[in-house]
Amino acid sequence: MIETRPIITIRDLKKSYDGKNYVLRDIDLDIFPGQIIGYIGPNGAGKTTTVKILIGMLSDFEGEVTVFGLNVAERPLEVKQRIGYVPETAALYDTLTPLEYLRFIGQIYGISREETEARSLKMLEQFGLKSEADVRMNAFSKGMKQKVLIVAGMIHDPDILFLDEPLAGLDANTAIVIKEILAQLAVEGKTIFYCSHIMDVVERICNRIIIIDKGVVIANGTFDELQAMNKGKSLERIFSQLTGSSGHAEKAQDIISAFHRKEAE
Amino acid sequence: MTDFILSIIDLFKGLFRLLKVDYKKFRVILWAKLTDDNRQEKSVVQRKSKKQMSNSLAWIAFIYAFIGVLVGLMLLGIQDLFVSMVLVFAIIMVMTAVALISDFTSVLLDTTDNAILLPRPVDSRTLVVARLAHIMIYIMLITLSLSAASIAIGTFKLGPVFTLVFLVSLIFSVLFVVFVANVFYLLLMKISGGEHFRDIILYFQIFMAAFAMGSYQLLPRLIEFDALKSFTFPIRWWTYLVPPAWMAAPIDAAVNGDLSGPKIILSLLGLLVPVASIVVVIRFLAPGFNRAISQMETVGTSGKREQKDKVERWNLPAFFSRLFTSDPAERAVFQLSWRLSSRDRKFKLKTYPTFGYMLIIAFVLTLIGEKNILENLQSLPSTPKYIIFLYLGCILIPVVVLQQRFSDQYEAAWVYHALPFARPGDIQRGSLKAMIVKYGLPVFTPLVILVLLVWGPAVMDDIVLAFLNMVISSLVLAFIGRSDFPFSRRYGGAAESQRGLSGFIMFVVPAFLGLVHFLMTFIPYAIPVGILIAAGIVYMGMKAYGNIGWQSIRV
Repeated sequence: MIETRPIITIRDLKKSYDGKNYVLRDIDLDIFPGQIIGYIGPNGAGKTTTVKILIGMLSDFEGEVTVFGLNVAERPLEVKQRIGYVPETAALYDTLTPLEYLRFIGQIYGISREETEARSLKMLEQFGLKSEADVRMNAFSKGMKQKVLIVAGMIHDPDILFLDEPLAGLDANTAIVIKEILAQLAVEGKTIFYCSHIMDVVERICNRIIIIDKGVVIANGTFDELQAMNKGKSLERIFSQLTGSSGHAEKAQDIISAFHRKEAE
Repeated sequence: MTDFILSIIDLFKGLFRLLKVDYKKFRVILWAKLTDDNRQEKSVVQRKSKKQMSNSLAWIAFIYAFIGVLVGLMLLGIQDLFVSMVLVFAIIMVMTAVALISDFTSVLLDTTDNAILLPRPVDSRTLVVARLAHIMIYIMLITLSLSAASIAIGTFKLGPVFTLVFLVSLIFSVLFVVFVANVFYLLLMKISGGEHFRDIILYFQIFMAAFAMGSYQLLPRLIEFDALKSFTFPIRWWTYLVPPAWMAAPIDAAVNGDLSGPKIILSLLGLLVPVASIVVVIRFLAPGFNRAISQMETVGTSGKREQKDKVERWNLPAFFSRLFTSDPAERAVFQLSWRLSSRDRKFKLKTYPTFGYMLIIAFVLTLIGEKNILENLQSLPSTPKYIIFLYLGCILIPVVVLQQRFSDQYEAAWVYHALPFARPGDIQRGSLKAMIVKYGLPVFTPLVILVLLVWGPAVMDDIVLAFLNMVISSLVLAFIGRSDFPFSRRYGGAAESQRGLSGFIMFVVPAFLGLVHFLMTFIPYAIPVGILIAAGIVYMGMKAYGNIGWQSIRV
């Protein structure tokens, strides 16, 4: 394999929203082209914050972050031009139609109208949304909006794709297609940054897994490496070993007994 | 409409390029924002509300145009052009600023499209200019409707030179107002540190709304227009600090050919200050403003955590719910409605200004008359005006009862349908009682103290009757809205626009009851009998309201 330079480097990254509590404390990472990164961690671990910094949405942080060798804090526009982002919340102007929305996004990336339309229609057709291309999205289900968001995230052929829980709301068939797309993109040399809570998906599609907890990286490697280090079978097991709580059975028992009516008394 | 607006903006393409704005991206963002606004109101599932909602902007324009006629009349009444122009611009600028801060805060502080736009390659300057332009379009609409009458009268009286200079001055005054509003927000953000920013804005909006409503009552009564007619405005050093004078000076200079030194300096100020301020906004304030806005979301959520235990210290809702409810479901809803109404920003914004407004009305109705305020105050105890005080209080509670059906989080009302409630009446009555207790007591207690201080204990029975009538008025409103669960309807939806009739009844019922009450004071023993009857109605009404069945609930 040819030695390549990292496409994303993170050095001593710290981030605090209020100046007191740090959401991210000292993150160091190198990410290489062609990798599918599974970025996982418990709720509130700092996943979304990391992504927002990497895509140039948040610019006041401590440390140095480069994407494509460019400093994101200083040159966010050039970075944004070459990355795609599919956010966790379905944020789009839902009074527009999918085609209108995608044309809008395309124009921002500076793609010609014809090109945008051609790409959009092709993708919408494959996602089964062709007949809805001119219907306003406020009546769309979460899954349908998610498909439009995914199309919007890829329309400018980005080199890095950031996905935050991209399969939420999608039917099983579409989910398989998305996973296949990611695998093929990675073969082409594109980089995928995949945030999720669904461990078996991460275990299957990601060739590198990064676990963060309380703003610190606690594991970083291939699934096999993580398995070897942590004597766990599944990623789910490894994850819960690393992020603290053992004794899930007892916890479940406690929760159940909390709402059971007490018949013995 | 959107295309028309955009084609006008295209005229200024060069200006935007000069400000280093990426015009192509700017235009498409503006297009998306305007299209979204345009459809937001109409696109809702309910077709019925379509007409009313899309007219809301036209309605605002109409109201401002009407006020504009009153403003324009000053041009006819006041001899000195400079004085009338200073007054016209003062009113236009103040009203525009108030509209900007109170009505368009949501547009200015909109964080919803951050998630769409921030990850895309758009520089923050273009983003801010798009945001500003979006607001300016609405502000221009208001300013133009406000000044339409002035333009018409002025053109007729003074010729086309006036029209041209007036329009130019108007644009510059809007630029200046936008700058002032921006500085105001930035200062507030700095002072409040972001966390309480939205609350501070809310109370400012409430104050402004009450002030605006009240000033229409007060100002015409306080200002003596006769004195203004022949008034002239000598230019002193402080004249140069009055922005409306900057805008008025070029008009006076152009129409009357007054090219004296002070007028030239004032005109130059009117030209340079707005231009400088808009450059300052875009160059220096905008980046900070954008960062502050994008931080606000995150700060807002982390700030909530610290409030957690503070709220429960005064457990008023729990205390009062034990006092006034017996059914557990009713009690639960009582507490829920109490808490939601304390925390829902929109709810406060829609109801609290009325409270201030009523205070001003009370002042106007009781103290301002033929004689001066002091004399009116002295003769107050010998008049039956306590009825006015008491029944103004009666109007407030139905306002709250009417409003508590609406919420931004209307979807959360699914719980009422999913939980095993035997009678929806319990839900409705719990919420009604919460509103009466939570707002009725604080409104009535000071009123009662005031009335007792001025009129003495002899009017105690009147107070009791007025209180019962307040509950009756609330019940009438509650019965009209019985098909909607508390906080279950969307603001701006069909339910809100169909509210017109209840808005009318809300004033008519207390007014009618107040009139009956007033007439009863002339009949001996009528008040105690009235109390008995009213108490009976309250008892029966509450009982009937609690028995509402599922068939009368709208899904």
